[in-house]
Amino acid sequence: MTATDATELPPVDERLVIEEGDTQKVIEVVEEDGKRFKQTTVYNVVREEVKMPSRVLARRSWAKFGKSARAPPGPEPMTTSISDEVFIEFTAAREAEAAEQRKQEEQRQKAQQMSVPYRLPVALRQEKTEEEMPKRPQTGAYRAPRTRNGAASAFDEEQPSLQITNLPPWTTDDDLRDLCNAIAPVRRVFLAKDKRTGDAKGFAYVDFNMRQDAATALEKLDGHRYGPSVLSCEWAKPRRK
Amino acid sequence: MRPIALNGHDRALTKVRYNREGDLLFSVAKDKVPCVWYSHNGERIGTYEGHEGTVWSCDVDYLSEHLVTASADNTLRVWDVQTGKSLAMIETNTAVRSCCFSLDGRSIMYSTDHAMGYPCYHRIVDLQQLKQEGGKAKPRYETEIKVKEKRITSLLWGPDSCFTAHANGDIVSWDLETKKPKAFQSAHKGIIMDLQFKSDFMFMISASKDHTAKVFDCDTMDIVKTFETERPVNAAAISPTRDHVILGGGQEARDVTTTHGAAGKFDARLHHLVLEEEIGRIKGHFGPINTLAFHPTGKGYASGGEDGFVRVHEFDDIYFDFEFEY
Repeated sequence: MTATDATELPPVDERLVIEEGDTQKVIEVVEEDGKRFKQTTVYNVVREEVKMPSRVLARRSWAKFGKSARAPPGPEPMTTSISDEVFIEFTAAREAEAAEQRKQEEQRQKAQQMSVPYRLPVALRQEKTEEEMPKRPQTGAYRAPRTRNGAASAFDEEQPSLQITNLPPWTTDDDLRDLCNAIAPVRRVFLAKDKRTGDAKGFAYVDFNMRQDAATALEKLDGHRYGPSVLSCEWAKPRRK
Repeated sequence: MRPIALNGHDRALTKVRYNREGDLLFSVAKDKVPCVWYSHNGERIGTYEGHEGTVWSCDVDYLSEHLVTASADNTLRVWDVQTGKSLAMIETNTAVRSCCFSLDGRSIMYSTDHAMGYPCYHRIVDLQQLKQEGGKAKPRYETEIKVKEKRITSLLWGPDSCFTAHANGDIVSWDLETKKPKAFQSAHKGIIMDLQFKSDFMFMISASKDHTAKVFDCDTMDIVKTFETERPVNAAAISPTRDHVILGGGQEARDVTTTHGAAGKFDARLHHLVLEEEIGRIKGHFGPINTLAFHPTGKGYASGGEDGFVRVHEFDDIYFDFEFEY
């Protein structure tokens, strides 16, 4: 051995695995920007026993054949993909929602009728509306007529969405979904995350299927203790303003 | 749930089938090459190459050693499941429409189409004999159906008797000794697309183009339940563990391009087996569902569509928590 050999660092791909009970220690050499580091990672090993018939177990190690003969073990991206989340749309929920929508529609119509005691004939009405048309906002940005003058549409106000704040930074989408699903089926969960670190920013929006569900969740989640923090929950403000 | 989408076929699926333990999933399509997949992760194990036409049906035996496929290239082939080798082949005069193994896996029943002046044949061959003698093996049982409208579209072979579903909507239970129908039920007004047993062989479910699916008592052939929908039903299956039925269908393939996607009603529908009422719908395919199969544990199902995809679903807890309120 020469002197240069003695100072030579171990090669990059060297990997040492030490198993100690329920932990696994992996010592490896990594190269970053031309410098070599020793990196030690400790894993907690969770062993799960799955029982399956011996025939099934034997089939797990079959060699691939036919068109897949040359494919490496594991699913091929060409033929197998995980598709988007789908939900069972329960008929009972759908009918209840439709009934609620009908009811709301009726109430809205009734309210409208109450506030407009006399409807002008069509010809006159058109003239009047032209006069009353609000002037185009000077900002120049286009806004849908129903949202002009800061008016949120009735549609937005009745969304079954909640805003949850004061979430701990390690919260994940699944945590939040589990938390809310325990109260009522959730349609959508949006957890604001830091783009760089991926930690939760502390607030989230949750959509439920029905307004009533959301109301129950609001009651339960406001002031709910979640890990070290106390959640605060309120109706989500309309998305467009 | 996040279904696994299997994209191994270029054309419309015709049949998906789980083996007895449910770890393997077989799929056949109009694109000539049957595929086998691991059902837990959607990994393709292999393909069975040799057919030269649409594969209409397939079945796997009790021990998952042999696969039989029925094809429109006028052949019925038997394959070694593990290696994909063709073990035997029967050449017929017309397309083989349906096939199935007996429960012991020793015999194969198949039916051929009524076409080109040939009647629809309904035959049983011995697997061992077929492997030894090849296509020359004499069928153990043979009947012919001369009326075109009564041709066989689907077959089932249970512990007691065998059943055939016909294009005119009839379902017949056969006595294999005398070659005479034991019981008969003119169940549907349209062509029957699918016939499947409940896992205990007490009942079977049929799916028909006349927009209904019906459940029959296998002994008496009485219609026990009727599920009505507003679209043709191409496939129907009964859950092995819960009182649920799943129906798949959608408008005819030729009408798909002229209507809106949402109007096609391509979702799978869950119905209550006893109360007949709809429980829910599961979306996913963008063409009609041609075939459905429940996982033998009832924890999920696979569906194959006209769009060329097989989707393997594993139900969420919300499905198992669900109780029908009545």
